[in-house]
Amino acid sequence: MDCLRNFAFGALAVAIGLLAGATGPGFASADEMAFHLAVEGGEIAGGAPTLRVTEGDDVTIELVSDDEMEIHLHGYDITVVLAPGEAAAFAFRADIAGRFPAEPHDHGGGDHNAVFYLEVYPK
Amino acid sequence: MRLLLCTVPVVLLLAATSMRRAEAHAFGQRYDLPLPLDLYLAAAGAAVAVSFLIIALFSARLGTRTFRTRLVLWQRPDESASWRILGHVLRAVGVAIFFLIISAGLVGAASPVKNIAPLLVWVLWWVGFLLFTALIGNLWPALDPWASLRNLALRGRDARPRLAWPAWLGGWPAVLLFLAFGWAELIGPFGESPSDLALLVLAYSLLAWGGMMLFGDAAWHNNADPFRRVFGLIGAFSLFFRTQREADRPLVLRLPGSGLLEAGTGRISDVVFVMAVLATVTFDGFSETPLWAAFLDWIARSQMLRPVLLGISSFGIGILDAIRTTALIVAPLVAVAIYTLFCALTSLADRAVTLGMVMRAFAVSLLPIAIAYHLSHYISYLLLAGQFAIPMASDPFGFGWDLFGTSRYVMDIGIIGARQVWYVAVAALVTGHIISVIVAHSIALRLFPSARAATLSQLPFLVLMVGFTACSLWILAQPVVNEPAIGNPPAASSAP
Repeated sequence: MDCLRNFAFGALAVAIGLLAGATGPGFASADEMAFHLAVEGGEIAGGAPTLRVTEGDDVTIELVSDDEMEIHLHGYDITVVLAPGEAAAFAFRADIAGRFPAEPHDHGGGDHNAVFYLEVYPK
Repeated sequence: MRLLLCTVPVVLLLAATSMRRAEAHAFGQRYDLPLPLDLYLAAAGAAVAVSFLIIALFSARLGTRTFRTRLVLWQRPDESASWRILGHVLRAVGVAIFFLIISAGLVGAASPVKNIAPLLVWVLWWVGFLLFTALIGNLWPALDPWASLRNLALRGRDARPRLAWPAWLGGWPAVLLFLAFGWAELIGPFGESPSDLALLVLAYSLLAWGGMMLFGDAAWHNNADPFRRVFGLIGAFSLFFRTQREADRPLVLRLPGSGLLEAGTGRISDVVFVMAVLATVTFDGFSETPLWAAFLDWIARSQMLRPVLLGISSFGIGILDAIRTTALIVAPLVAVAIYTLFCALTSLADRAVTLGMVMRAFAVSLLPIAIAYHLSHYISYLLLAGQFAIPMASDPFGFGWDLFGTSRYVMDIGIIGARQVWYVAVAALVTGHIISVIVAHSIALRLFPSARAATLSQLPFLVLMVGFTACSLWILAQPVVNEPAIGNPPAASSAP
């Protein structure tokens, strides 16, 4: 039992060490974050990317689509209308942390696949 | 009986025929950030460490006695007028909400963000009230509208059951109905369509009243009513509890989880019920992970399964729904298999203790982890989607009313910070894990003849519990993804 007890205290020490070392994700805080995405046939080649920013950043997400479409960023509740070949952008201050999907706006039903995800990490 | 066995598939079929693309929790997206790796590892490490600490320090029977400490708040609540008035108020509230759900569902707006019925059922009752039951206490027997309306209709008349509950049926109808309800929540169209939801509630009402009429209220509640069963089990974890062990049934304040030592799973069907609860809760989170999305994608692209998928879709059933339904049936079977395996290892600790005894004794000990996971998974969703209650209280049917002047309330999506959600999740899961280990240990001390055998028996269970906690943490550390569209077979031009 002594051996078990020693092991238990050892494990607890490791856990406390891990807890002390927990300092949130290591994202460099930047004031302005700009992304450029190309949309083909309603999606981005290689699957929906995840854009990571830090709370408080000024974010610009510029999109060019080969087709006419509307993209809605949930949570921040912003919609951008894209004309074929013309760039349009989401521009906002990321003041709320969370993971927000951006989806094509509904044109008569069908499935919603996210075009991209925005992850805003707390400071 | 035939009535009961037939109704479940009929309800499922009815729903399946009106199947649309149904997203669980249609209103109120989830905006949870994945748990960061370092927090995830810290929590998993802490879970492992405390498991061994408890094994090392808790083996004395003193520990169990401390765990069972309780404070009697009210010795004879049934004799008090205020307790009875509280009961009447709760029954009235339960019945009023029941009629509100049905009337809003049938005549209100078709959109789930304008109609209060889906909010009441899926957010406030199934997430919010369930957590209230787990943490504070079980008010469901008083709120239960089916029981209240039946008692109201019977008033004074003889209500002897026409049939005795068939012994061979045991508690299996509750398991089936719970899975059917899980299907309605996670897969069916009832999150999106208020009218389908109202019809589902009505169909279940007929089934419940029919069952109570035939077999009597007690037999129905104990064997078939999934909500009595689930709130009873979850409520055994709570702080306030009316113990069944004394004639007066005093109201006591206890340490969380200690009531689970009283909650019996005396039949194998009760054990399977607990496993179905654990599996459904876990599958809910798992079905939002990239791993699950990748699995669906693999199925969609598999040449081998293609004829099967085309066959399914030719029946007008969505392929995605078919896969999720299969998974929802397989998940409890997997849970039962894993649980049986670990119980078999546990029963090796002493020759006098059989596998059946172990299985019946320990099932409830896994509930604290599941409750903690449910809290972690839903805390921000509840706080976000729950805000819909403010505008909807003023306009429950979506008719443009403004009863309380709150119909223009705008949701505050920053109501809880991402960091707070992480800390709540990690703290809840580590605490839930500790309580699970203590509950299992207390049960072992009661079940096994010697303290040594009891301690030895807990080694397999520690592995199982660490695994379950780590699995829950892993799901929380995954980014929430939307499922890929496989309603239509993928085109030839697939992405690399």
